[in-house]
Amino acid sequence: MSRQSFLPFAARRLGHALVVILLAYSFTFLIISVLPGDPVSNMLLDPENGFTEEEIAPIIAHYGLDRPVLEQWWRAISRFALGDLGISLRASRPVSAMLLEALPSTLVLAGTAMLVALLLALAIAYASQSLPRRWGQGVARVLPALSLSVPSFVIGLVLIQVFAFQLGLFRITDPNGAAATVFAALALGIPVSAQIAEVLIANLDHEAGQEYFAVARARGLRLSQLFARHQLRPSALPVVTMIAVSIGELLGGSLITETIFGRKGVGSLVQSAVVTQDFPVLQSLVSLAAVVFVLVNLAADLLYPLLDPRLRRRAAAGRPA
Amino acid sequence: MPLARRALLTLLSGSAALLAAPAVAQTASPRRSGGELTFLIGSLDSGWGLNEKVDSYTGIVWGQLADKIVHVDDKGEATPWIAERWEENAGQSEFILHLRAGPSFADGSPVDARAVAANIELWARGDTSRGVGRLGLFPSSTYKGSEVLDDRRVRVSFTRPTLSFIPTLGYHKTVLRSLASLNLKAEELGNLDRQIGSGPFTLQSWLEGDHVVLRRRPDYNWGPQALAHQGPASLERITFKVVKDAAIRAAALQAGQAQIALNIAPHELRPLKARGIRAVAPDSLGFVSGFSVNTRAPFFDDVRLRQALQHAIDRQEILDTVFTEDWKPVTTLLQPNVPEAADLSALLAYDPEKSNRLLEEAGWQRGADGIRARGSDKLRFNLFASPWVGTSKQVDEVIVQQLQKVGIAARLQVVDIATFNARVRNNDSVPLREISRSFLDAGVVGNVLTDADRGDNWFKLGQSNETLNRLAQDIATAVDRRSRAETLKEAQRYVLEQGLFIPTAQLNQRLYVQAGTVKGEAYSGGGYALYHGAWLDA
Repeated sequence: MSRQSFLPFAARRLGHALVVILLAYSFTFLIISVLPGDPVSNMLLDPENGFTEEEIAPIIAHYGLDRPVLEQWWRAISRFALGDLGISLRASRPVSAMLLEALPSTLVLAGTAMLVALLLALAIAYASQSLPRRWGQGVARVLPALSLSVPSFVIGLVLIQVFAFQLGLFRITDPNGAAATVFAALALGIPVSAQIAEVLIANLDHEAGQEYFAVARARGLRLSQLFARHQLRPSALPVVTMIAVSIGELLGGSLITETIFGRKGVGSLVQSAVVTQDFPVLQSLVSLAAVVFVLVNLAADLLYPLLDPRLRRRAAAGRPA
Repeated sequence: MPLARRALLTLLSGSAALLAAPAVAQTASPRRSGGELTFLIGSLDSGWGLNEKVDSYTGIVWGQLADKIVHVDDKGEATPWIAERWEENAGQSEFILHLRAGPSFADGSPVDARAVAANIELWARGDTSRGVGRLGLFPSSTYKGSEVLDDRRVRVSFTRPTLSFIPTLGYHKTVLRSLASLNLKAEELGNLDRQIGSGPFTLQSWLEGDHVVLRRRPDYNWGPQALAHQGPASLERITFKVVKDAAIRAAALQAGQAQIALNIAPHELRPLKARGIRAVAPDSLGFVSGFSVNTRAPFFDDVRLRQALQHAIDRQEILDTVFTEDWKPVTTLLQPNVPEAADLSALLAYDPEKSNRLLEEAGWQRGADGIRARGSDKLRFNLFASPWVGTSKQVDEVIVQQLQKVGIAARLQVVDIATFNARVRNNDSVPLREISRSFLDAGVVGNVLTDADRGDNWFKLGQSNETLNRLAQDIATAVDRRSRAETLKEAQRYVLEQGLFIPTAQLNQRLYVQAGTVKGEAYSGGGYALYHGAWLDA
């Protein structure tokens, strides 16, 4: 793609991304506004406190929660557009500080989970091609479906019970330690690995049926060479798409995994923001998720031509990739 | 946690039971200094701001980080802490607090009259300019002001008798914070680094909603006088770690990864106890769990229907089905340890025949479906489980079945806090509202009977009931605890006889499930732990 054609393309993509993010923010706002209650009333109207509605009205007014929804939305989105994420109604702290605290742990977990998923998927895929056809390959081909049908929280609970509580390999009180992170990543990564493995196996099978593959095999190449050189690369393109799609799954899955493993992260922040109706935090988190999706999709688009020379040629010829 | 998940953990932990050895010290051992206590807690979500931001969970952390003006024990008795003594006028409307010399906040500033007065002022009035409400339980409606007399004396005045003032100073939310902490900007209030107390522990590290690590303060020497241990804390460190799932808290405790887990479901206690783990349910002052009856709800203006409900509930069955021996039977609407609690068990006796008779008298006849009806009206209503009480749903499930036996169809609704507030609060079609309220002074009972003086008006009678008006007035204006106790007993009897409050079970909001190695801890009247004197047995 030439520089002249890339710049308008990039600008268009960036414009789309901004619209998506603002829409995500507004949509969250709309959803929350139709729910009953607000975080201030939820906290103060606890029967423990004995407040009357008249007493809490000035506090609700302080946070602007008594204003018409459109006015609240306009104030929030204008602030958001200037990069101000607001203050958490629950924690009385800037949302940006809370996000910065939570992000690193989730990035480490999601990154490790993706690595785990890729390694597992590759191992299963390789086994599906290399093991004895009758039993070995059959088992390898059943594994993804089996892993997909077990919810990640069950995997998480089993891992915690066996490896933390019985074998003592990690402590629930130190969920960010290396061992705990690996097990949390396993819980999060196993269902993702299954999806990737399924796609990969289908593509590997397709490539294995091609003539060039038969020629390579006739030349006497070893199975591992065949797999690495001739089978894997042409099968990788759909895997890139799968990875891009899986990022969302990792973000969503982190909510459950972080809660079960007691890790502080974006997922657990979502959980507490939902439970306490902490609007500013929730809106910022949804926007963050939108940003991640936009970036991941962009990255996937840019990766395709690198993996597939045909797409590179098409791009060079000015045709849409 | 869904049952399936719990069952899975139970199944998996079966083999762990064989591996782990019970670690219970059977003999008394000397106090040991040092060691780290790990405390698993279900939430630290409310943040670290002022007043109502202190909740049932963060209140336990604050109990170690900060001091209170007085210590209130499980009998509601106030004893010296930061205030070494106090004077009160005959009319109970003016109090002079005499502060002890020496205490300082962790930032080095003194815990003096200025700091104490500023704290009281903020509890009483809040600060709406920073979005801070007043403290719910503080007697704000009669509060006049606080005056610094000198470095160690504060005068606090009220417009009329306020017997509850001194006990309220031992409430888990009336924690003393440094002046700098009180004056933080709205967006800084939740920053625990800047919320400074004067307690036996100081902050070492924390992560929002995840953990708080406290370290012993070596120069601490101003703990509650009533407690045996004086001087610095014995424990070197306390780690509060959030583990949201109760079954995982229980399993971690069982595996020895923590010493204390807060609030495990009652039915999971038995296997833990079998392995030497103790369940400590400290007596806490307040109302028992139960329902306030909305007399404006359809049919519930009829005292016979309310009384029928009172006798249709088998409280022993609730204890046997949902709870363990750690829960005591209820005898009135106040917790068993409240000094003013009367034994009115006879009024709460399970007597379905009496319920049936009362309902028949009121014209409610059983239909073919077993549900009573009067003309075209069916005796049926929605029963909302309290989202604030973990065991509420299980208790209500039992109650629904018990009511069914006398022909009352209650439909259990389980909703979240926001929905509960929207659908139950101020909704006169809902007859029963589940109550969970603690207090440190039983004068609070007077506030709930009517709507006089911003009263809570639990029974929606406003000021239409002469007896309740008189009782509320007498409780509010009492200047002598003994005579007020008599009025309070009369109030309990009247409310129960009239079926205006239907008690169900003892309210146990803080259940400390802990290893046998934890020794020497104390509890406040609200059931909040104080680990100043705690140590870990080897």
